[in-house]
Amino acid sequence: MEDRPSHRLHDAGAPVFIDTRRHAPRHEGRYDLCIVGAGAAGIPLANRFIGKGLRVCVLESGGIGFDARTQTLYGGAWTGSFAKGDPRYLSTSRTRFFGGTTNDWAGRCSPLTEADFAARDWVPESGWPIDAAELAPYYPLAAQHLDVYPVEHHRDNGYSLDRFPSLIRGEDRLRTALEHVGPPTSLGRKFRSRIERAENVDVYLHGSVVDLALAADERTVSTITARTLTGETRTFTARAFVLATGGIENARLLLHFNRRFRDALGNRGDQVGRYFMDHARVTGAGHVWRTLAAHYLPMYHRLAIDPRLEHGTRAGLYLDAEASELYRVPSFVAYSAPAEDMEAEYHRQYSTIRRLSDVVDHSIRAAHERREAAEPRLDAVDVIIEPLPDPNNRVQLMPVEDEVGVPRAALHFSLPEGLPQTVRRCVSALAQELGRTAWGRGRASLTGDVSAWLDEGHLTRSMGHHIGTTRMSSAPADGVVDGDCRVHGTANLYVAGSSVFPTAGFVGPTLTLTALALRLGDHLDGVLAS
Amino acid sequence: MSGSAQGRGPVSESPSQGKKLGRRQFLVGGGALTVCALVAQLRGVSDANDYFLANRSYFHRVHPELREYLDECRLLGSYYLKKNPQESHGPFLYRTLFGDLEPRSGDFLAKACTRVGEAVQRDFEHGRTVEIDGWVLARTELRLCALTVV
Repeated sequence: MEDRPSHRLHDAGAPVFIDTRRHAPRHEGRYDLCIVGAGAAGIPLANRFIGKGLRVCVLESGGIGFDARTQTLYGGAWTGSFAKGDPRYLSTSRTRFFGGTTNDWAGRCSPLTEADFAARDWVPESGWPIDAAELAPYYPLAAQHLDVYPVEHHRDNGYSLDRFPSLIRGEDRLRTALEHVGPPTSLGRKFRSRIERAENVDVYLHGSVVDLALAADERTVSTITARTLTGETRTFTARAFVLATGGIENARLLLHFNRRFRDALGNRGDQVGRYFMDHARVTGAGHVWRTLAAHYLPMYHRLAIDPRLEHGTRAGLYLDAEASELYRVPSFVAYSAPAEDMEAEYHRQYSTIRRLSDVVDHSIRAAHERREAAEPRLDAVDVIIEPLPDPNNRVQLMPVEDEVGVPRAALHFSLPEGLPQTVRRCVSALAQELGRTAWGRGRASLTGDVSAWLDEGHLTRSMGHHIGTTRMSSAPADGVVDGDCRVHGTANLYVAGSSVFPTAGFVGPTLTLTALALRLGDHLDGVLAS
Repeated sequence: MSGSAQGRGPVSESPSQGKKLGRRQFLVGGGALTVCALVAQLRGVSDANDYFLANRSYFHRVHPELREYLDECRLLGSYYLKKNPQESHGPFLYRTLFGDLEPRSGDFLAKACTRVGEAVQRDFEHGRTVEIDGWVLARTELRLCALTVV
């Protein structure tokens, strides 16, 4: 689909969305801030600076809509234990036009837990250089951007924990994880008109970044160059640059740039591209026989609705930091559904969250009234488990280049052979806690190896979460960016997106990466003001 | 994806010895294996014990099922005793479970339920659990089952 450049004009008479194929950069390409990529990180970041008195440009490889030729720039090789899946994984698991992969996602969001930020000696390479408290203030705003409502942060808009009660009374060790399902929102569609109206933000479409230049100090990025599929080359100058191109592309571009700059851009420790992670979802990993204390669970079964259609909320269980350490298991969440009529339950009710909140109130009252008559019940348990950081899972460059001259990405991603044992230990730990809290009994049901799980459909090949290839670290030897998301060894090059996550937790990355982008915005605001 | 070190977990019992435990068998054998175990569940509610005692009718509805599903209790008990043959002694199991409670006293059942219920939760608290066919059960639960086969 060939899209047309916007004809909306600034007062000054220049188009806001600029077709790089046809127009030279405005202001001679000189900006305060240059954001590469208009997706879940880039758009909130650009939006953050609207009306702030700084001149901002956004460089987007695609157009306003999907274009097959541009999408092929994502093509590459995929190896590893999951490679038996769709060979087009690299080009089908992400979307290359204004809005990025928010144009095609599930809308499921939760914040990371406090424990996810901590260093855990049973999870290799774990520990963020920032803690949960530093990110917490940005989650509510990120949720507003994405139209999701993590209740912990949204007491003001009518959604409160009172309406979403915990599954377990007196939570300790065993916590209730609430996942909220958004519409899902495309940030491209949602923010397009606002960004178009912004006088200080210019969006350049159809230009893919292919190169950058360093100043004489070899620490400061002076310019960045974009090339179009029609062969035009445009150069942009800025005081700060942000790569916000996605979990694979951020690493791919940095690897490409580093070929010229002897790994000066965050790769002195050979870290760029390593530690790629995606979540594993194991269906039917266990069973729960729940007892009278679990009277809230059926309510959440009714609230868990088809995410393709509407908002919803579903509740799962996870172990807090103390319990994770006690059992020495990675972060995971267990969701349950009635074992016998799971599908019917999930598709029975479609409604908006506001309508559902009425159902909740009613259900709570009804649950209390029914408690004496409640019967033990069997539920199937699905588990989403934190992928462990592995330096051998990595993005590298292929010897072949794409149409604009950037080497294509080669992704290697294998799940460890010990995954089934780890999942069983997680479910067993959950079962111990279920017994301890008098919630019920649990069973680790699945046996067999990864290969059998894949063949039998118990294991998803990918959840499309591209995480960890430019990981955040305090020391340059251990990662690619520092706690402010600035590339180690550089003065003004930053990375935004899930590629900076050192560990992935059990939740989808979008809410957290958007929150991190907003936090980066505050940092850049201070830096650029000075 | 295995962690760098093993944490606490249940002792695994192989279900391959003898008949495999089916879901239904667990539900009736493990789930309703004793009234006492049900008390353990009920204690998750703050007023569980009072609630339980005040709802004898509920108890009396459950109790007959135990007799009906005695075979399943025996199956679980047999699993346990195969791994712990030193406990194949009725008086030992009784003393371990009920201490000096007098079984003919009028309040035996209530006291026994409380005692066993608390023991089950302590088992889970301290990791004294056994895994049978994937199910994680408290050692006290299995001793109750074992009591049906000695």
